[in-house]
Amino acid sequence: MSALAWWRVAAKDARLELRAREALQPILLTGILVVVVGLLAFHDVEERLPVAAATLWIGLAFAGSLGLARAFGAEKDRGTIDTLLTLPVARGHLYVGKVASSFLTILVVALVLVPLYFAVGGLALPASWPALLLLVALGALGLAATGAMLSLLAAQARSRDALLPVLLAPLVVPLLLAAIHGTMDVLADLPFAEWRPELLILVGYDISFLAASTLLFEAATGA
Amino acid sequence: MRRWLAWMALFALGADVFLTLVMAPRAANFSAPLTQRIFYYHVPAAWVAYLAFGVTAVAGLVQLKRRDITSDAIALASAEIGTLFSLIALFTGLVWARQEFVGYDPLRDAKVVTLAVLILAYLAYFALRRAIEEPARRRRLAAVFGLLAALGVPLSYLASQASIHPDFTRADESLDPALARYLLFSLGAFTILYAALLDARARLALLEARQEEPWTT
Amino acid sequence: MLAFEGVTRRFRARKALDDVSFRLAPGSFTALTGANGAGKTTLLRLAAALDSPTAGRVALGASVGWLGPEPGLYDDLTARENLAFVAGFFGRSEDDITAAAAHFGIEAALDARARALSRGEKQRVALARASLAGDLMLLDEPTTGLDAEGAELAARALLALRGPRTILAATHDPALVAKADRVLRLEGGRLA
Repeated sequence: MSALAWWRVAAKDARLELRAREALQPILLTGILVVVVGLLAFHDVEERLPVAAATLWIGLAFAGSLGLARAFGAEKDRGTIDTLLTLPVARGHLYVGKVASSFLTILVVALVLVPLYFAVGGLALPASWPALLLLVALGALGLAATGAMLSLLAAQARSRDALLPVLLAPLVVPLLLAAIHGTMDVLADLPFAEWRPELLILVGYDISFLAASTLLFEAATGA
Repeated sequence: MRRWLAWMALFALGADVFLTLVMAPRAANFSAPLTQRIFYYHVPAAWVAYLAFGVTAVAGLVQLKRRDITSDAIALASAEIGTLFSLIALFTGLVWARQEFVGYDPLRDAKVVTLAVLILAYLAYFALRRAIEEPARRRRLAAVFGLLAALGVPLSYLASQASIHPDFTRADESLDPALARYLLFSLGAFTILYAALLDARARLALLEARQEEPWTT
Repeated sequence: MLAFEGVTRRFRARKALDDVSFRLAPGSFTALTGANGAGKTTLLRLAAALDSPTAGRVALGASVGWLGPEPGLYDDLTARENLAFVAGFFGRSEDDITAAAAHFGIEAALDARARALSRGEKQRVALARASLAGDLMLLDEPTTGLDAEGAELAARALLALRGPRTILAATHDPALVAKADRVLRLEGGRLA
């Protein structure tokens, strides 16, 4: 049971997300807005791919940080965080569970945003679209991993809604760099060797931040 | 500040200025002769900026283990000094690079990107500290963030290396060994300066912390 | 179960708790009384390991069933799901959940969303949840939000849990205080 404790947390969060669908709306809307505004603003630019890649990931990052602010912020507001902290589980489980549910939310947003580029953005679906999905998944995981952790830090501070993006920005740069450039290469159907470095960085980022945050989570919650 | 440290820093810095501005020979492969000397200040400043961040992160690790106020005072002091030096490094780096490289584009330089991330990380660190009132919690959460940021900065360098082509490599690869001595001395002088500033600022931070919680030892 | 040894908790200049020492007997019901601001919530949080002392030691030897100042339920989950979420971590069964709900008189509201429950019902769900959790129940004002009749029922239900559970409840409720095995009174952070 104890090894699956994080699954319980994630399942609870997923159920809450599904039920409180209104919470998802502003998040989706933010993502869509960034994408649409980006496509419109750069409609006359020759190079579609950089714009597409950049707006996709910036949209995901913005939308994601909205959702992530709620991750632990809402627990704190509701008063449920104390109950969570008294559960007989290693606190890392609480973190992993939150990452899982945040990851799902960001992935859902991505699955709405990505088709937009092909439907209205004038991009052609690349042959290597599975690679695109892989990059999106890895990037979403990285956002969730870092964001969930920082959400906990911000939840314990004042003006947490303004604080989370400030904390997130420096840590998420490597992720965005790798994700944006990798996405550009994949959209251009470039061979694997071209975007392999970016893929490796995404994987490295995800593993590093997941591991570090799981280890540090206990310290970030205790008094 | 310890008296001897202050004197040492003063001496080292004075010697450094003299050596690099007066004694160092004109670099053959650098185009702009005068601004080339900024190099002797830029590289050490960047070195201190990263060193200071490393110290903040390690102090954070100690803080999490010991829960004391000294390690936190060191972390805070190092962060402040590091921010100052990273701004100096960024400014001097841009001035020098614009002189040195034709058509220099700072955004295509992995080192600029990493330095920018470092500065953002420092600023975020201070923002977090300011936002937490309870001292014990502030120390702990700042330490956690410091460690995470220490992970992010090297990753930023790798990420920008991977995605930026071409990369403006610094001329230190082809640095004349005669000049290398001056650079090395500069590095040493700046490190001593950092140590002196750290000592002074950390002591002050410790006093402030004791004032906030008078019962702590 | 639970022991405080010379526990002090300071917030800047203020001492919320000052050299507090006591030991809880397993299976007992202890009432924690004191004026608002006397330190009851701080004491409970320290006992639950939600906070650490500035000085002294808290020896916690059991898992905790927590009830804070607010019911702290997930609004979009049903009462049953709220209970089941916590109960699952403690290996409690479906029957245990139903029994706990009945014990606190909210079995009728089990399948309603927590959002739709009244303040009193939420409180009772929270109480049931705490009873399904650890063996040491740490309760912050357990009968708050309940009307006179509800408070009386809840008090009786809590007292009936003595034995299988050890209970420390911060409370103003005279019924609980009167029937408690022991009363700890806090005055300005010190045990009177």
